[in-house]
Amino acid sequence: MKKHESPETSRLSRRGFMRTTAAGASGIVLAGASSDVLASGPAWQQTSEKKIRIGVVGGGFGVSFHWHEHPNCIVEAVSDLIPERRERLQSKYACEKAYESLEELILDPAIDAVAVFTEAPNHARHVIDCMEHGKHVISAVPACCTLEEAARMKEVKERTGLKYMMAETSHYRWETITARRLHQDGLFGELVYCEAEYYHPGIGWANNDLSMRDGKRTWRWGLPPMSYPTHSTSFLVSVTHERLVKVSCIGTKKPDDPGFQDNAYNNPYVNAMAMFLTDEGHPFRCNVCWDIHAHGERAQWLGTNAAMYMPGSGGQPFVLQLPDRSINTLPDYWHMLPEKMRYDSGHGSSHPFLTNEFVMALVEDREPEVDLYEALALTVPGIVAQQSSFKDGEQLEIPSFDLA
Amino acid sequence: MHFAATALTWIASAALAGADTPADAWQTAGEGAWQVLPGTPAVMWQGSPGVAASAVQTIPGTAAIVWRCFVEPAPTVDSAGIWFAATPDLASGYRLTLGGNPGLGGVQLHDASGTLLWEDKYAPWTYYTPYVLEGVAESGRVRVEVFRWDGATLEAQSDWIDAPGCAPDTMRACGLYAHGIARFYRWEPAVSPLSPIVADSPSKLRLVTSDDTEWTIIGPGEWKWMTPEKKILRQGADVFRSSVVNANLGGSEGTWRCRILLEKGAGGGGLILRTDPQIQTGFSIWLGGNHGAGSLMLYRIPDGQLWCGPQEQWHYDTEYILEGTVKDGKVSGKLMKADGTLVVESPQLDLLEKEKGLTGNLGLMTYIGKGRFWDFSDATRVSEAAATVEGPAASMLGSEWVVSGGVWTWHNEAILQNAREGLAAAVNKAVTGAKGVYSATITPQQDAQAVSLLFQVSPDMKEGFEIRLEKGLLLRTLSGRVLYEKPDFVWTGGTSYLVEGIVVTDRVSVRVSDPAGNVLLKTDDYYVSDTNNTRIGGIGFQTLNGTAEFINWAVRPLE
Repeated sequence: MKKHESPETSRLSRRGFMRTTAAGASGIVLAGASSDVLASGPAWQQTSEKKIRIGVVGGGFGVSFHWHEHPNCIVEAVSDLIPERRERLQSKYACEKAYESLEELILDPAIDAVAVFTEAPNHARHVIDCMEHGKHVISAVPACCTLEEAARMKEVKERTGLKYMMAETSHYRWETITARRLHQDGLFGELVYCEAEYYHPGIGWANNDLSMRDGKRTWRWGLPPMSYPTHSTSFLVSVTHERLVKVSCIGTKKPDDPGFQDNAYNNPYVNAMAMFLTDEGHPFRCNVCWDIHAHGERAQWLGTNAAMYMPGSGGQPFVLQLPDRSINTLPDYWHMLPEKMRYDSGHGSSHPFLTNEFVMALVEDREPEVDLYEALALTVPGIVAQQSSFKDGEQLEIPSFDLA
Repeated sequence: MHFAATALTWIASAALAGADTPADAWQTAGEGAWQVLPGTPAVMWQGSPGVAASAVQTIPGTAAIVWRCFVEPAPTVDSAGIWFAATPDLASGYRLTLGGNPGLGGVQLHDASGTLLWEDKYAPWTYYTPYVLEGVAESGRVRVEVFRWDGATLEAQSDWIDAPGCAPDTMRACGLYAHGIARFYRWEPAVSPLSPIVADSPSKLRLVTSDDTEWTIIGPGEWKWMTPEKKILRQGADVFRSSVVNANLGGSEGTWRCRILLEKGAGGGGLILRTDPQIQTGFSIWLGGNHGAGSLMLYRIPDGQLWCGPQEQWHYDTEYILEGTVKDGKVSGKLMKADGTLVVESPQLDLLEKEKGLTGNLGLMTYIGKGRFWDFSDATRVSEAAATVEGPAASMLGSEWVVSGGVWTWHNEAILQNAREGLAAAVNKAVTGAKGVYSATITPQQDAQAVSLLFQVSPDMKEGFEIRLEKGLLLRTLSGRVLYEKPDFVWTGGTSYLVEGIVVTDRVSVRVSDPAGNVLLKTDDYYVSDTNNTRIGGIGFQTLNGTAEFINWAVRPLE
């Protein structure tokens, strides 16, 4: 077991698979349970009548999930500071009970878990508030914005024993699920290099709709790209569960945009390109860019025996290159979901998968796939990369927040 | 073909069977590395690449055997499937597997000696996708079937196959087989099969696998008759290029013809003349060029293009007649509407000296996508029945517009929909974009039940979004999913509204303003598929049971 794997969240790495112990004389080996393998394989079927009562906070991104369609979930209450957004949540999830704030909602004893889709700089505070009130939590990305917040989240999670999941969409993009399977099956050979990128022109710009609301700056005004790294880092970490241990990051500026001259983050960079090193000695190139003529989230995985390339906004097709042939067809994974949830609602069809995984983790009383340790392993490297960019690309070490 | 009720019953019990099977109930053979992953359901994983491995258990009873299992092959697997009605040492028995046609698919039934008993060579399957494989054994005969993961959609099925050595009362070993890496779950014996033998199983409709021995498939693809009558042949796979050639149709000179319909997303497809069994020679008369709005093309195989007609001559999901003629040292092609009206024809081009006097066969081909073909022969003429199939409605607004229903007219710079009853739509193919603001000023008249702005809409109106003023305001996808609804939004007949559909990559929103520019409604963003990031669409209008005026339509960049 790798040092960052808890007994509950033991990942079925290729090596872990082969180290399992033989049972009996049948030649069959009994392996430890793996949420990766089970969640990526068998067709979904209802195995429990248990209902998770969830409170949904944040009527922006928060309306794009499927809580009301999951057979094991009931939306107990919703909340947003803005009345129109509260109504939007009530309408989407057909929920009568609404609170004016998260702070009120988490006092409701009927609520088992809270879906926190508030603004990014408040994620850590809100997650901790929920856990301190005995609620399991799923939050939007990133999990946190500072190393101090990361440490505090870890302390609270381990003290309360509650479950946390980060709703990282790249984890359930179908290319990522496929890459995870290929890695488990050893078909990449050694996965020596991965490139990942998240391109979203306009984020952080002063004139962007998302940067201003009702005449006030939002949290996206001048947002440092590497403070939002998880769509990219997930393409490697969610596949191999390696940890990113060092980083050097270079930023580029947008000096003519007020968003990057005066912002809450003292951030001048609109694009950031980072080179990471993993704990297994693999390089990983990761871009997050707000001002580039490309769009979307994609990766390519290069192994010694196989390579896989995601489609891109430049028209690049999906290609899985195996030793003896290339495949251009990506499997679909709808069978992993309850029937009502089998439709695309954004981010590479990942939203219903995130919904299902969090609900089922609570129903089955297990850690979700993107648990707190995975979430911090996806988030913290970006925080350090951002610091590196402020130091002209100095290579910095990335602290671990895994179990000791 | 669906057998949902049966499948649901089975799946409910199968999970328990799989989860409860102890590891030591299995006996293995071969060089595999089998592992059981506990859970609900348990997963059996054969993780050794390139080796053949079996794991079997003996099931109780003496009656006929039905054995089934989900099988999920890795992309490098040679074959994976199930054993049934076998002896524990696997000296006798039957093995149903996915495989046998590398890179393309295939389903095969072998006996324990390796003799191939039955095959559906072109049955498609996808790696990391679970399929239900089922074997049925009675005394002296066996049959097999493969289902999609829903346990209801039949992918392949054999008839009963004579198996003189099959003795289910004593051959009770059933299990799993993999040559390469594969996963298995929900294995179980059952009382009855998931499906009876059916006349229209995919295996019987699939070209070549059925008794259509005159056809040869070149490359990947799913060539299948659409009905047991075998009238319409469909290539149903999203593959780059796929062709078939018919050994019984052909000749040296003459006119060859087929009816063709290309499905949405296809890059092209058409007719191949005077070709050889491997399609290394001959000519293709095909619909190519712009996808969904392209040209008639004439190619020499393998050299390439001889002639290309104007674009915008063919469209998706529309029936056409393609015709190719080789006569007097010339080759030419012709595209007609379904009723035989000429759309465009090529000039008559000279054959090369070496081509004169050659003979060959008729073929069909698709390019990047799916298509349907029928009435293909060297003798077919336009049938009266087929001629009744209509192409797209002629546009009343000019070539930029695709119109369906209603009475549409120009009024200065505006267009009017004048019909008081029914559903009417008009989509502009020239004003297009991906992300951006799709806007128009819309004036519903007093009589209108509903008036809509369609944005990022495809010409066939299968993709895109609708802002619908009816009882309130509705934003929905053209596939019918409601993104936003405001039943108390009040609009008034005879009043003009600036209606804007805003596409921000994978998020869309709505803004409605009055004539003075006051914003009456602005929604939040709603997440949609991120295929929307780059999808090109146009702007259009729709009315229901009433009249309306539309003006100042535009697609402009995001503010």
